[in-house]
Amino acid sequence: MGRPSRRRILALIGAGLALSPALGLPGSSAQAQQPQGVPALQVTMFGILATPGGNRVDGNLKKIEPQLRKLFPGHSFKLLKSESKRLTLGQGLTVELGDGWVAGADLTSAADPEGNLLFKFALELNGQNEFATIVRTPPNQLFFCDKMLPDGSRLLIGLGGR
Amino acid sequence: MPEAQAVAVTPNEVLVDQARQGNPAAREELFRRHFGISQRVAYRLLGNEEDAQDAVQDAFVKALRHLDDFDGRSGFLTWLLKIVHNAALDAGRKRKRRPTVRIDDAEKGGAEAAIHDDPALGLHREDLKKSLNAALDRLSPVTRSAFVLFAEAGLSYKEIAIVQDVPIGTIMSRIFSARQKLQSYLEGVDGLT
Amino acid sequence: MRCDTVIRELSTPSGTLDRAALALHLADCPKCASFSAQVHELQTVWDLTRPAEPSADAFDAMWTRVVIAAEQPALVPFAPAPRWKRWGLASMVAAQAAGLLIAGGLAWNHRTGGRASAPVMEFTARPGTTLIVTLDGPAGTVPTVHVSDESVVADAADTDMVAADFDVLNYMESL
Repeated sequence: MGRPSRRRILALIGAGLALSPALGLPGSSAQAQQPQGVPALQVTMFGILATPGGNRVDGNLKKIEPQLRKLFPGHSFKLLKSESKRLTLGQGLTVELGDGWVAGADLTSAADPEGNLLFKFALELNGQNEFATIVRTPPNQLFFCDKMLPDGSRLLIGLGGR
Repeated sequence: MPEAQAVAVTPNEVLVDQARQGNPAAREELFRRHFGISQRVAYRLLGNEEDAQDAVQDAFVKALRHLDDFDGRSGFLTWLLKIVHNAALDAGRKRKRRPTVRIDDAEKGGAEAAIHDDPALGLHREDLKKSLNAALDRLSPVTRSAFVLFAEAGLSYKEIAIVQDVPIGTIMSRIFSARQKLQSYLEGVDGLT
Repeated sequence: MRCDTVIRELSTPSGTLDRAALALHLADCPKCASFSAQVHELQTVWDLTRPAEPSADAFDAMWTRVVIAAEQPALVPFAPAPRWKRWGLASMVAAQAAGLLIAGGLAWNHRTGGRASAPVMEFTARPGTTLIVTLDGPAGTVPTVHVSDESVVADAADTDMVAADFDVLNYMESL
């Protein structure tokens, strides 16, 4: 499959927002919104394959096995990919998860009035957009997109920043 | 009788009703009378007065917006402290990486000041604050908040259970655990004996 | 009277123990007497370090800001409800998706007149919870969206665990 670019993923989100006035958010003005003096934030996104049953855990995930089991009990876990970057507003990162799955996220706001970070998030399979959303989350907290796969396993994409 | 005194003795429930009907004086009085305890609880949870003020302000905004959601099943104080508690936990998570003063540091910093500032007590009050805050900081958030709501706000086990949304037995267990740990952490701090 | 009963009563008073019997036990048991002294010491430290009552001016200054802020539209729904009722949603579309488990695609199709792309929604994570958006259905079709809002603060009273997702974020950031 051709490698889908982050720009393409986020363009799809932007298109969706343009069609979605109910959200009340601009679709592509992240850069213009950036206030002076806002520092870069460390944004982390990762993908984990969770298979129901069993208790196998990828060696890379051993250290956080109890936490993963708390969040997603009854699964085996395998780390697919993890990326962490310092981002300023309007910048983003992309994680290729294998088998055609790609997740992308843009940092749109460092602090809304409630103190949340705001991301555009999108998930793509073989160049086709599967899911796109706006996520508001407090710093130090993770958002998970949990995609059910045909074989019963789950593609878990975690996203957070601070 | 002056009107201010009449307001001061009005029960919370009456003030809540008046506030819901749009009486700004009742609304202000309702929050004013719970300001001090909210500040103290937030301070104990966060160990920092500025953070505590921010958390209380956030909590009061939320409470004011959603005064209609107060259903009277718990007391107004319990309802409000639940919001303050959640705001403080949120603030605590956001500043998670801020360096905290460890007990050891507090003790080192406190010894000299104690000699000059308060020889009768053996340890300056500020140093005691640092030691206690460092000890509280070592507790898990839920354990710390259970103890703070018990020791600072004087809530009953049942009221704390409402705030934390867990059974009363869990609250008692958390307070027991918190006390054991705090006493252990503070053991040996100069000036306590 | 057993020592563990005394220790528990001193730690989490129930008021049900006979005070005279308790005093008698403390007089005869050095271990419990020592624990009782520690309880008093902690109480002393607690009282000595209690912050001063804020002034009326402090309240007035804050109240003005509170009233102004409260009049602004809220971005996050307030949900001091039982845990099972909590949904980390901000938008009406997302609230429908969560509360009624409506297929997100239906609402999207209705607005766009067909599946041009995947639905765009907005989700807000509540502090102290992990927002998990589950996408159901075959790839290439508009997914059904389920939302859960898990409490991630450790429940165990005797551990110092912080939120589970905080640990995961720390670790993933360090990889």
